Amino acid sequence: MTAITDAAQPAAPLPAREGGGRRVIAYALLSAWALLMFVPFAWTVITSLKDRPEAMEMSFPASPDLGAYADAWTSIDPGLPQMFASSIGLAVAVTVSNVFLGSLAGYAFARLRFPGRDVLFIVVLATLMIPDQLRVVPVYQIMNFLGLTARNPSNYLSVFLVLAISATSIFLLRQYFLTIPRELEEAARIDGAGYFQTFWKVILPLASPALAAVAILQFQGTWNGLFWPSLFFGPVRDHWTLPFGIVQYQAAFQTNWPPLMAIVVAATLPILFLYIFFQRYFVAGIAASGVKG
Amino acid sequence: MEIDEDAVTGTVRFSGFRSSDAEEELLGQVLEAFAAKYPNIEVEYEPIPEGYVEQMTAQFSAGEPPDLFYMQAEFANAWVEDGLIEPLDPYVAGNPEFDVEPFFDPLLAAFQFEDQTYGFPKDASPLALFTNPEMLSDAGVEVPTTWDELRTASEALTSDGVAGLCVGSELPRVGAFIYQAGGGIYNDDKSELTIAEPAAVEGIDLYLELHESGALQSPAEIGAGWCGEAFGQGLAAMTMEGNWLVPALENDFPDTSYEIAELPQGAEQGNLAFTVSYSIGADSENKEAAWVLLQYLAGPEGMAEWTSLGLALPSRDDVEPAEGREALVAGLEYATAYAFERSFPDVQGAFNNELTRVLADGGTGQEIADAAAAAR
Amino acid sequence: MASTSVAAGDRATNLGDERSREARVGLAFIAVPMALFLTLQIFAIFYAFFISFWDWGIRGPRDFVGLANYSDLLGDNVFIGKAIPNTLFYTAIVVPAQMALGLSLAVIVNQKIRGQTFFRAAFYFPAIASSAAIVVLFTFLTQPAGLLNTVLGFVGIESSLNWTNNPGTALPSIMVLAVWTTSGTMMLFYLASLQSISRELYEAAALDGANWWTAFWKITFPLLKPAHFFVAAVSVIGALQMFDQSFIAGGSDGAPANALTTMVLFLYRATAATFEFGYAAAVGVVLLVFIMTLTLIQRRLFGEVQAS
Repeated sequence: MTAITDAAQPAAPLPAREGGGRRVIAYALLSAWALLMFVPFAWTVITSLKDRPEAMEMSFPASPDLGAYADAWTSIDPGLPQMFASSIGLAVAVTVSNVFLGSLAGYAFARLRFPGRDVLFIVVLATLMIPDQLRVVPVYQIMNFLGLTARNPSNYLSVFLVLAISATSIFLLRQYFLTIPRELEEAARIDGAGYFQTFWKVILPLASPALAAVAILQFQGTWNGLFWPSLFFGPVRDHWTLPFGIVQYQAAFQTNWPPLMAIVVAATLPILFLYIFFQRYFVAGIAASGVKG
Repeated sequence: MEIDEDAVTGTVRFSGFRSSDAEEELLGQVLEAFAAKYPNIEVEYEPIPEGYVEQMTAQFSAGEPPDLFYMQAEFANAWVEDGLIEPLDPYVAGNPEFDVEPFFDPLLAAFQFEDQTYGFPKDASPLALFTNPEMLSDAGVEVPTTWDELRTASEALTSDGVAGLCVGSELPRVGAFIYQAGGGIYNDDKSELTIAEPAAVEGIDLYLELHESGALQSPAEIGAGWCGEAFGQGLAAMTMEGNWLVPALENDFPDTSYEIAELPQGAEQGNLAFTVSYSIGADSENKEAAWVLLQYLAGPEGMAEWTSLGLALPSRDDVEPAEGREALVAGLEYATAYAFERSFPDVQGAFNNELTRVLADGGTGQEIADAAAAAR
Repeated sequence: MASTSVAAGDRATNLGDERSREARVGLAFIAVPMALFLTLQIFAIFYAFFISFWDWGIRGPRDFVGLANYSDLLGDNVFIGKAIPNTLFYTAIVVPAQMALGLSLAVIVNQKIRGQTFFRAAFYFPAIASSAAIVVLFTFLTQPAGLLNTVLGFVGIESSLNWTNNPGTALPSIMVLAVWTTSGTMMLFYLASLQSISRELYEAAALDGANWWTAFWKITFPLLKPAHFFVAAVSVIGALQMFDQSFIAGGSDGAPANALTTMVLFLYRATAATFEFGYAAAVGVVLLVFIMTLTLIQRRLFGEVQAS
């Protein structure tokens, strides 16, 4: 069926023979679409360089400056470095947790036989179907029972626990593991490797595209997430993550755009760099044990 | 219940939604002054920047609310009904030095149920008529004070690209007309909806009438996010908004001049006031300390400090409003607090939706009122 | 790798033991996630199911009302006439669009083209920015005097619509926004799976004279079946639960005129505006049933791919 290959090579190549014209059009369309993706971000950056009254207009800043950034840096509560730290801490923890727990569980569901496996997998899927808004009260009460709410400094844990593992991660990794040929594991088992060793040394390295996908999704989702942090982190200023900074500049009728945009820019850049770093794993494959199809 | 404020000790968990930077700073100063006066009480201020209602709901459901917190008028009925709020009459009775007489009656009424008071308004935001003096003098028009004057003025001020009057197409604005017509959204004890009665419908009809003649436009029709923006951009000559418009104009539209006047009068003077109270939870831990903080914040000293920038208006008549806010404060005397009963959000939603439909497709005020009444 | 005599011994003597060892390992691997899911998710379903039969306020139960919440829901015009149709319409359009766009982008970006990294970043970009910022931005750009109308003017289309505030165009606008934003995430999902397709298959096809288009439909598309199921499932489930964009654009009223009211927004209103937890729970249960049904149907349609 499907085989793991050195997928460093792309799939079916673009028609090179159809003549340069086709290619140019293709690139033009691609670039136009890419531009469309960037336009809002470009507007964000432009607005962050404006003064407050200018922000409401469709124009370029008369005298662009970094005033909004300075403003945001000084006036934001409890300070950008602290918020960055809080965001990074949470995002890294959630990402590592999802990658680790997700791959373990994904592998178990894909390859190990144990009683109730199918039923439990449906349970996992079912968790995707529960809207967060429905869970607010019971989850809060559980966290409260555990002493992880209100001003308790360990309320950081409450958000971490809620986000520690997501069904999407398990689902995605399981789908990917299903496409790895069994021969690899059988070979490893014949060589005497235990289950965990097989998983860790043989299978996991082959799954870098899926692992990268999970990592990116979880990091970015946590980085931008506001729902659970706003529920639990509210009372402890030091735990406020970057999105809290964004809302500080929004008030019912008095949104202060330039510093708001400045924070959005500041919050987006790290993700962008992270994504660029990770996306190379979509090209690199695998084949540590070199299976040819 | 007499409380000796100097003897009370402990920590007060004080929570509220975070407003603007300027106000946060001001509140910080007020809390410092409090700390100086009552050194035995420690205040832990937990401003919630986002999702205040969800926070409070979660904390209430866990039985651990803050000691003192903001209670928005529109939730007051629901929270009191659910037994979450501490009745304050015993505290008032035992501590007569806290004078409750100066509070504006309509505002206090929003937090009173079955003859018990459950909160004291921390500030108030009524509506007022904002006018652009340049446009008015260009059109040779005076600031309207009655419905008839409003009709003629807004028509005279309407021209190509400028609406004479901008009023949001929603109950929190049209409601002012309803009260000016002598009607009301609810009856006095909030047990019955009176919005479909003739007097109330007259108010809705005024809105429709002005809209029909082209003199009144909604922000969507003008192309602005809200009337304040329309006014600030010079796309509307007059608008009915609250004191939040002042900082918005000064920050975002510094070149637009404005004047503030009381709302015009219909059969009566009528207005809406939006307010929030300081309240103590029934399950709060340190209610006594919370009371001490409450009577400081809601007393003349604390409130004067808090409203000194004019970003918030005092809810007591023994506190002088900041400069230029007199017309707004005058409206507090006869305003109705915009807070009713727990299913009001549904009524409001139905009203707004039906009004939107009527503005686009045509219809009558009665239809809108009936739709709202049916939603309860 | 040296073989441990224990392992060799096990397998030779006792297959049953091996099976139970595998079972134990399997259960151990899933233990932590399942524990978290059971307490933080499944418990919530049972809790919601339970309280949906009560008139339940913030402080707790007030009255047992049996099926009254559900019958009220059936009679609630906003729920039946707006929340459900809006949610279904949204899902029916957004899901196929997201999948098609995600797949196209993934295939394109998987090619050896110049600027591959750049395009990959560009296409994923909308997913990176925070949802709140994007919606606010979108609302701003689609105002009557905003960028969109200005650009339309350039191509000769006169428009002074306030796209997100007009009952007719509000939901479609949000749908466009959603597809634009999440296409990058779907692209990511497909990209991960595209990597697992053997190059030799394409080489063989090329030798047989198949062109790029044929290769895509005969090789790539069918081999992505597991990915299709995954993307479709996640997409549908996400679309049925749409909340953020509606809430940020239109508030808890689903303005204008409930055009943006989805089932989850309706649920949110019942929780945080009128504080009727029992009613909100009933909405949650109904939504859950919807989602489960649709997911099961999908499973039938796409089949569930097990490795051979």
